[in-house]
Amino acid sequence: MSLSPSTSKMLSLKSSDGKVLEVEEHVAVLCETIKSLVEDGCADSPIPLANVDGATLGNVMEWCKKHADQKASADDLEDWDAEFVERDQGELYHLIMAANYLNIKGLLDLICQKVADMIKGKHPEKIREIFNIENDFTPEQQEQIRKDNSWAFE
Amino acid sequence: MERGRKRKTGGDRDTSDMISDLPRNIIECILGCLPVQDAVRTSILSRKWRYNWITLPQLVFDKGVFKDEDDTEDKGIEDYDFVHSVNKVLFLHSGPILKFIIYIPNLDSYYDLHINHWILFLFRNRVKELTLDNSISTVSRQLHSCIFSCEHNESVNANAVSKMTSEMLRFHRASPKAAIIYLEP
Repeated sequence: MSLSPSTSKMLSLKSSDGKVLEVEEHVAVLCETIKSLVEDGCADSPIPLANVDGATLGNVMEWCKKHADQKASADDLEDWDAEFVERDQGELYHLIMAANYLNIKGLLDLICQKVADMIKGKHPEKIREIFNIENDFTPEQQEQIRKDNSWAFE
Repeated sequence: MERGRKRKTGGDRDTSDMISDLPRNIIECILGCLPVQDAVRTSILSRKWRYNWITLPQLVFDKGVFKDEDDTEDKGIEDYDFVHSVNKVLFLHSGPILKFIIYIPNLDSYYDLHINHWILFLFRNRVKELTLDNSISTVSRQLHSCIFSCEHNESVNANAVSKMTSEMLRFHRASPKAAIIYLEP
């Protein structure tokens, strides 16, 4: 992320793989975890984020920057978000874990919705295929589960 | 996914299962974005998924959950199936239900009894947001007044009682002892 020509105070964030990002404070505080540090006056030196790699941190801050922009309209943000979540599962996984760790509810909800959309209306076998979930039930157990919730499997 | 490829940064999109071991709160958040039947269907994916839906704090029975009953000959059976399915979800569910949304199909008023049981059950479970949408039904309903008297309830959605006339609302708010609330289609 490049430096923004703003007067906002800058914060240094250090990713798990040692990359340092300079981010405007009003953008970074969309992360509740960082906001708490800032409020407690613990945000001076580069803030170490041990659970977020550099590439993911860049993506997260890209989202925060867009959502900190007061000029962005709701429609604009919706379109932008829809494009933002068009990623492969690896990236979505890292983003969801980072959003959880950094406590960014809006981003967490966004990606959870994206993952839910990948599940919605699909046959279980298809869902297993999409997410590489191993079916460790016996056919008898599967039959029992179907029977228990037959209405959901119709 | 095509557009995302150009932004790909990690190399770990392969054959590993990344979703099953996500933290509990994230799994709940994902399942919470799904209609109930999709959430319940995840129980068959694998052992790890078997009981994930059971503690979901929000249950959404959206319009598409049950079949459109307009042109069915066995409406009585379908009514029963609908009520039985909701009963089953509530029986199997464990823990608090904070949010409950249901679109009530064109159920015979005989089943109001069950709807009232759901309401009582949900209020005992300290539901915070309850939406009972009767707008796709042509049947008026008589509902338990605890819907307005329960102290734990934070938002009984206006849609809940979407077609209820304001006079009725005033009447029942003014008379907390009134036993029933009418839910118009």
